[in-house]
Amino acid sequence: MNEVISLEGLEVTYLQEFKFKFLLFCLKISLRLYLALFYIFGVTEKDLLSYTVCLFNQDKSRAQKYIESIRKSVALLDKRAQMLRLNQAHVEYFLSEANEFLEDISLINASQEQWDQFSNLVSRIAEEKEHLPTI
Amino acid sequence: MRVYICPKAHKALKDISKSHKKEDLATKIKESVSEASNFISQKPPSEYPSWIILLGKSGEWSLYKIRVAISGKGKSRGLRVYLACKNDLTLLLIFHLKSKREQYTMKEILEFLKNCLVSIGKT
Repeated sequence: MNEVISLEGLEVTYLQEFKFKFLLFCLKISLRLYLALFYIFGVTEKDLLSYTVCLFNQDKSRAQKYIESIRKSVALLDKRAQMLRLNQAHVEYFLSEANEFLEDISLINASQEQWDQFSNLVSRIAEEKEHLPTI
Repeated sequence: MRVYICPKAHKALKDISKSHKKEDLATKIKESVSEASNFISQKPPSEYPSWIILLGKSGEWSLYKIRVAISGKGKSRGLRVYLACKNDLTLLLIFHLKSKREQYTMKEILEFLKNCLVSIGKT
């Protein structure tokens, strides 16, 4: 049976919520401000992920809304970064963090059928373990 | 906990060792895998450090992603390290990214696993 990620004991903190909402608010005003605050706050992909996963367990529709906001912000940054002459290294870093976050969320949301296939395939690989190299 | 590496991951580790001699990224990956395996076998998910992500479960297997802890930004980017775990058995799966912006999908992970099976069949 597929179990969507469940990080029991983890709760969305006020600081996380504030950081997240403030960043999204800034994004609407200015991309430069958004990127600057992204670094000042030191928000990482992991922060976004843990926040969204917690939210996912508490309120799926709200979580989906935030995921969509991040998806849009990535597309927007990608499109406008060069035009605004933003620091390319910073933009690249942000985009790769955000993309990795979106990737994690997409894997967490894989269908039951895909998770069953995953289980089946790794079981078959494990049966052949004598042929697998060890670490 | 016994850790097995899929043949493709084994090749990827060797390639990484060749191209990152100074940082010894392959060693860092091995250390991270060992550390992550200990956490996974001994602690509940709520106590995992932030670099271990439980992506999901099916049957007896769980899929985790680990972020390799190395100094300097971006060195591990372009690599994805996953662990498939069942009781005392852990399979290490390493993916190379063609582009930093590319995202892996479950479909691609399944494709990778199928290819692993094919390559095992050839040995």
